[in-house]
Amino acid sequence: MTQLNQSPATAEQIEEIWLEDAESAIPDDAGRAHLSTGSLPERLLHLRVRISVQAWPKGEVEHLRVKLGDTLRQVMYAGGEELKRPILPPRPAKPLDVLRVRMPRHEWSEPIQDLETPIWMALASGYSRHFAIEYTLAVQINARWGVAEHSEMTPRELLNQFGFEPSEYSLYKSDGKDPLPPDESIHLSRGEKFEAQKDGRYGGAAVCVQDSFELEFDALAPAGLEAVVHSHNGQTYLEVSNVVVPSPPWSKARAAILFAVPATYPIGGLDALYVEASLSHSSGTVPYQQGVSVIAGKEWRLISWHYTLNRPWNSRSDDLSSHVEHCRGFFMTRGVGQ
Amino acid sequence: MKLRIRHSDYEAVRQVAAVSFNSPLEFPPETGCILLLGRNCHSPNPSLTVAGVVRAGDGDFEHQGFDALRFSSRYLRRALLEVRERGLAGFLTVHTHPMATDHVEFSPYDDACDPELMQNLNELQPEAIFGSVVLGKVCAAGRVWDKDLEVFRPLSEIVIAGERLEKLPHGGSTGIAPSASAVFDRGMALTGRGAMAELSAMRVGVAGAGGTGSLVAELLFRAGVGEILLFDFDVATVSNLNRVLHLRSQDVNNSRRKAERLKEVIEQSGLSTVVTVVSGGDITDAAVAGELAGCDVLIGCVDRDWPRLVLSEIAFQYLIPYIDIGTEIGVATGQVSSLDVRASYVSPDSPCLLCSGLVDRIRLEGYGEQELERVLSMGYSTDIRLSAPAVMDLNMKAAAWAMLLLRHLLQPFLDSPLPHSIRESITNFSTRTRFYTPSPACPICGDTSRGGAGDSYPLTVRRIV
Repeated sequence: MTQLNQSPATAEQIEEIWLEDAESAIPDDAGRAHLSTGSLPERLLHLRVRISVQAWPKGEVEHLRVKLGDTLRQVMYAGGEELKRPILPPRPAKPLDVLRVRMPRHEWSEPIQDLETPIWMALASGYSRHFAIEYTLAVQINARWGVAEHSEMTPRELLNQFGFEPSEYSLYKSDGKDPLPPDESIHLSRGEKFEAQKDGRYGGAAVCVQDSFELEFDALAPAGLEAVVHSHNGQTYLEVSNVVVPSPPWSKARAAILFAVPATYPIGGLDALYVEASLSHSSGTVPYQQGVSVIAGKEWRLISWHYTLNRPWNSRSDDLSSHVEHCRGFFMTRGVGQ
Repeated sequence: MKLRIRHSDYEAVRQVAAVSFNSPLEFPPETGCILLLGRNCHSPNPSLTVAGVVRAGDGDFEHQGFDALRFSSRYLRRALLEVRERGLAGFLTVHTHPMATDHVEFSPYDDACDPELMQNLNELQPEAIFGSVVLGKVCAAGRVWDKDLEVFRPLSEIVIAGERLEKLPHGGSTGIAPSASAVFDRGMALTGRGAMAELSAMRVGVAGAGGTGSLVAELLFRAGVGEILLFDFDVATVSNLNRVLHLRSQDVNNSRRKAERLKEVIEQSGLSTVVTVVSGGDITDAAVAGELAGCDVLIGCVDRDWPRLVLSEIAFQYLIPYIDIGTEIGVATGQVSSLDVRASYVSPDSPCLLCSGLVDRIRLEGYGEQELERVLSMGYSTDIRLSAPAVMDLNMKAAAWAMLLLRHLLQPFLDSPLPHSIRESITNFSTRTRFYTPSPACPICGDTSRGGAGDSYPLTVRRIV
């Protein structure tokens, strides 16, 4: 690295020699001398320094000039334009792409976190003038930008990653009229735009499902019931594991059950249940079984176990816990009684 | 914010809603549709206009029960894409509450779910307006989302324009209408308390303050109209004195604007009507035409084609009922051959004045103002100008028709359907009604994308650069 510290530091000389030589260290009067004050004299701020930029890790190197007063963020955007691959998302949003600087042994630094640092200060602190931009798989959904976790993702995964609940939102190509199949992988390109469109929920008699359901859901754990909510083809299901069942005749002492929660819950009541397909009965057949379905990636037996006319679902007194008890009745009645 | 919907669109919505309200089922299902919106940014009288109804197709409701309705994202998206394509203002979802008859309000469930939908729609189309309407059997409530404050603002009125000018009971019963003052007591048989209340809250735009316009303004304020907006740029001339109400020779000497004189007289009457003389007054000017969009009803008392064209366009784009009146004295070989009075009603569902032949495209096209004057002076055009014969007694008949039609719109007493044009021939004592067929090629009423499109559709006006 050329040292120019001994040279008389006029602005003209700096421009002529140091600014053009990408391997030169910053002269004292243009850099280190001002580090303690944190500001550079006005006449130096506008000098343009030659730097190199490349796509990380092994892109073609391009050169450009930036002002000593520019921040690393400005350097990064200028570099993106020089490489003809603009930084994403466009300004003024925070870039999702990453800026790195070449270290003394030619290895690349970790991503630079503080992009607001002026380049003169970075150079004075020991940065080289060789930068690299790590282009990420930045994609946009509605107004939100994010870095896709994989180049092949399903719409459901993308929605989840961007904070959209897949049971309420569908993913569309920008200006597309049909939703992308939620579980079919799509190949993602950098800068690709999607739109997450919500469904519309209204109800005259329905009460606030969310509040009621969430409160009851929270009450399951203290009662010793482990519960997980699944969304499958737009339907909400609740899986409750560790339900105690009599064994024998059942093959296990604890089983997982699943039931559908209607959109209108609790006015629209719970009914029937699914039991995990791995649970068997000593008789060889599972009583009241209607069929086998795959829900949320697991096999379940649908059991035709209903409230009776004398004792129908009551939205004022029944809840998730009481329905689990109602379901346990199936194991007790059909199990012990048989 | 007011919502205007044309009668045919309202009928379409009611047809959709029939499954909720005219069903033999004990618990009929909720249902819904989507209303595309135009925007009328008039200040201080803005409104939203319904530019179309997007009906639900197969699979557009993911859940449809007596207590809940779920619009699929695909259905909402279809509406959103149409908003983008047509440059419309946004849309409203509409859903029913089947158990609501004469009072309806959004449920707690609606209140819990709707904000997230509105936020999502605004994220997808940031400048657009979104909201929702809930329908009861004979009532409705509506609201639009204020994206800045993240709250709903209720729609102040839902106005149905067509055969009648109705306000849908908003939320619930409108209650007992305020009583009319003793001044209007003798008119109550024709315009009852409810209609009187409507009239007293109404802004009526009168284009032209000359022979017929001055008479119309007189009838309006004596009927109890809330506000009259006068559009006229003419100053008084000697030839106006024979028929422009209240005009005096001193007004002629002072070159006073006819509209200003009318305002003065009406305000001196001591009745509560407010009169606004619209600056400029020429409705073929963009800024002046924009003021027409702030009216609830328009009455055209003009004798030129271009202003009539602008009034017709406003009527369709902003869903504002328009009554156009005119008179004609036919003179042949020095003798009166005809004395005709005409009143035309242009509702957003009926043919415009182009389709009824009252506005002649040939007269409109091809000539600039200066050239038109030259052509007229040479006798090459039939465009009627002030030099045409006109008398107050004939004008009175036309003005009376305008006022009676307006009263009928608020409280019907005429046969329905209303004819598109009523023509009275004095010479042979006959009154004829006419119905016209709208032309599919008509740039006003034949253009389905224009109806209710509001500000997103340009008017045929002069623009000051």
